[in-house]
Formats: sequence, structure tokens, C-alpha cells
Amino acid sequence: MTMNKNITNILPLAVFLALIFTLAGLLLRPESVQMISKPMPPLALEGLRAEDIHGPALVNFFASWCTPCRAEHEMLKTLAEKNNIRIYGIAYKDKRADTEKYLRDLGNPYEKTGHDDNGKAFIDWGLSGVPETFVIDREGNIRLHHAGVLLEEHIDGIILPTLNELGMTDEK
Amino acid sequence: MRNKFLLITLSAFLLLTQAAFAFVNPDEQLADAALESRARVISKDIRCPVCEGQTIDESNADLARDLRILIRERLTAGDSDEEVVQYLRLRYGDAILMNPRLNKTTALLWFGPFAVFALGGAATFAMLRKAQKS
Repeated sequence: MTMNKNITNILPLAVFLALIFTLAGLLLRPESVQMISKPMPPLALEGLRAEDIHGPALVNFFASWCTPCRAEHEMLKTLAEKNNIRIYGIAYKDKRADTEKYLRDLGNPYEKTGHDDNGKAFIDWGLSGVPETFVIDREGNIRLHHAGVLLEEHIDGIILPTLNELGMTDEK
Repeated sequence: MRNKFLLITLSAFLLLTQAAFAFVNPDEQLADAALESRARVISKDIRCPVCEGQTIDESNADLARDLRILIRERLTAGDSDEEVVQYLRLRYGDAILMNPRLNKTTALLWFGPFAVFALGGAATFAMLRKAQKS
């Protein structure tokens, strides 16, 4: 009887905790982005067209007016220079002169830079802000979509491992 | 009398703010009234990805405006309503829909609250009955 009562007493708490863990698990699960493993959307921008992109490579949406983009810029340069990774830039709603000055002042990690003046490519690639970064494989499919600023933990944790999986080596 | 006046004023105020919430600019609107009304219906079910809890129809965010224009362009190009919605779902996921469709992943969202309510109700009922007995 006492045993039975103990169970009844903790049952609500147990159910509550189970609910919390289930919901937390669902919420913390990385959002399934539907463009993964799909061919990259067509690109016909001034300065960058889809056929210019040779994977494995990164496609990075940025803008000179975007502060987080400045924050990740050093790391993009390291990736391009030290890790020898091809990065293609797409400037989102940015004035030509501003983009040019930005890349002149901070250095240019991009193989090529396209200009998405009207934000069409931005929507076609499923972006909601800048910066966002994609990993493109040899066949031109999207392998990874990272929304938001790139931190060192993202570079080491997902970007480089995904690129390595696609046959990019760290050596120069 | 005074109450009636208050009610009318309030209703008028609410109507006005309702009207102000539609952000579709005149320059975005399509000349074809049928297409325009289809665009409005679609926009009212598309969540603005950068605003909290607003549809792109009622948001003045830059991206919401671009999405409204895109919907109109696709409709003009001959897309069906479903094709336009599919285009956005493919890119932004189910979260772009104000009313997520019922499928395996959203089943919990739709039926979870009822299940919790039924469970809580059953537990309360059992407890009350036990208390009554003793």
C-alpha cells in the first residue's frame, strides 16, 4: 500500500519530466532544412553564375552593412588562404561601392562575388538573414545550410568535417 | 447610451487598426484583380521568417515585402496557389505556414494539447473520486 502510494505521488512529476524532456528534444533538434541534398537553386547574378561554382566549396551570403558578417570575415579568409577552400560570395542588397570598399578594407576571401541586388537569390536559397553559408558538393548539391554567423565551433564542428567528407583536404 | 457610443468608437478604432495592419503597398499590387486576391489569400497564410508571429501580409519587413512580390511574380507566371506554397515550403520548411499541415511531425502539435487535457482530466477525475470515497 505504501509502495503504491509512493508511485501515485511521484507519477505527476514523472509525467511532467517526461513531457519536458520530449519537448526539449524536439525543440533542440536541428531544424530540418528542406534544401539539403537538393541541387543548388539557379544563380544568374552579376558577378556570379551557377556554372562558376565548382564544389566542394562554400557559398557565403554577406553584406557590407552586416556586422556579424564582419565578425566571421577573418575566419573565411583563413579558410580560403590556409585551408585552400573555394568560397563564393553573394552580396545581399549592397551597393557596389560599399561591397568593394568592404572587401578592399578587410581582405577578399571570395573566388568570385555575385550581387543579389533585388534579394531574389536570397529567397530562392531560403535565407532569412545575412550571413548564411552553404556547403556545395562536387555535383552542385547543397550539403549544409548554416544560418547565422559562423563561429570557430561551427567551422571545426560542421563546416570542415562536411568539406573533408566531400574530399577536401586540409593540406595546401 | 454612453456604453453604446463607447462600443461604436471602439469598433471603429479596431476596424481602422485592422486596415492599417495590411502592408501591401499600392506599387506591389497586380492589375489583375483575380490574381491579386489569390496573392492576398496566400500571403495571409505565410509567416514572415524574420518577424515574430506576423504574416507577410501584415508585416512591413523588407523580406516580407520581397516575399509578397515573389508570390505575385509566380502567380503571374502561371503557378497554381499550391505550387507557390510548395516553393516556399521547400525553402523555408513547414514553419513558413501559419497553419502547419497535419503530418507525422506536426501530429503532436495538433493533438498534443488534447492528449494532455484528457490525461489531466482523467487524473483529476480519479483523484476526486478517491477523495470522495475516503
